[in-house]
Amino acid sequence: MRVRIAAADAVLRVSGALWLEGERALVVADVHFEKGSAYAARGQLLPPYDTRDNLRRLAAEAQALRPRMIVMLGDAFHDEAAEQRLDPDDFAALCVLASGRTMVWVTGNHDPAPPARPARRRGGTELDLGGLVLRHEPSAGAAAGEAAGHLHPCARIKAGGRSVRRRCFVTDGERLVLPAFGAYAGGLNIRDAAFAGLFARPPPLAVALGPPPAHPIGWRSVAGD
Amino acid sequence: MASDYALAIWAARPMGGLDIDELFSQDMLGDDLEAWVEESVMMKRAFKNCALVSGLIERRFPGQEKSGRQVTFSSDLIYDVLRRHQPDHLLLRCARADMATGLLDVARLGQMLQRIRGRIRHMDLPKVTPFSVPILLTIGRESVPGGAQEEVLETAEAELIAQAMA
Repeated sequence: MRVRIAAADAVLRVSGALWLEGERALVVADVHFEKGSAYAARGQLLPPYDTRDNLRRLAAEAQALRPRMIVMLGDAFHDEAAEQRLDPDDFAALCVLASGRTMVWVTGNHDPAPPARPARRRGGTELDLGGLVLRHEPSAGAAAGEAAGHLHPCARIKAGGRSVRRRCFVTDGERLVLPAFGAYAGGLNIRDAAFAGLFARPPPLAVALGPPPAHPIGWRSVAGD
Repeated sequence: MASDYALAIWAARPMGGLDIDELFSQDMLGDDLEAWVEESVMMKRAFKNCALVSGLIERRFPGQEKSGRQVTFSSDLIYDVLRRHQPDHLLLRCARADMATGLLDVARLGQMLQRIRGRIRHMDLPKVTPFSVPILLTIGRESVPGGAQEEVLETAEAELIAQAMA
């Protein structure tokens, strides 16, 4: 779905990725590679296929869009040791994904430093791109032209006496919060207090994900949990 | 929803134009059924029960405080990932076995469909019949996510467009 964020044109993909066509940049937030293995180390034995699944969906997006640059908008790795836990096959898939393009690792609270590999990469806490400022954690108050992740937005959409919960983008036309891309990432309801104050110009719009297409949803149709 | 005497199916929209014989055709017992079962709420619930028993996830209770780093996982997320990457996983096999014995006996279902074939009478009734009352009380207990979830989103989207045009 095409939207305008401040002065920038953006495409909100039903996969949860942000596509900046002018820059040929694919942006994904909160992938949390190796979250499964992080939990397994603490005794909660989640099946260790989340990294593989994330890479598969990322590769599908890269295949469809042929981006020049892939921006990981923070929390790409679940923890600082996650990079070492990558399965060789998964690492190879990551290298294929990175080949011929620039990987930008915007740092997040889970991954304060960009990974050592693969090569041809950039790191940093924020990135100016195509009229947007990309950073992991949304800054407090109004911030025109900001695209961030961190909050893992989810919407409970009510209509016709039934409700459905989905990951979603949230935007008021000035700033954008991306959904988490990671297979094991949880969600925070966009009616939560953490979202209050971010959007100066009510009402924000949620773009619900799921089987294509993405659906724009008005603030009146979203409920708390 | 089904009891010993009745089967109730309800839908978001009127089902007037429906071919009842087609709905109960034996053709549905093929691959479609297997694909549908894998996606069904019942299967996900069976998996959740297996995941709880195995200790993979913990049950949360209303009012229970989240302690420290304890995070609850949606068993649906795990189900989807496992199904794609390790379809023969023990918990998936357990869930399928629970489904097959507890909820869905395909052989008996096939016999029933054979038995009732061509004998279904469709009547629109002006009011609720006495024998249907118990089952009508359970409306909404089970849901079949077909197009219904997407329809909720489409309705909400249409409401947004209507507001924008107003």
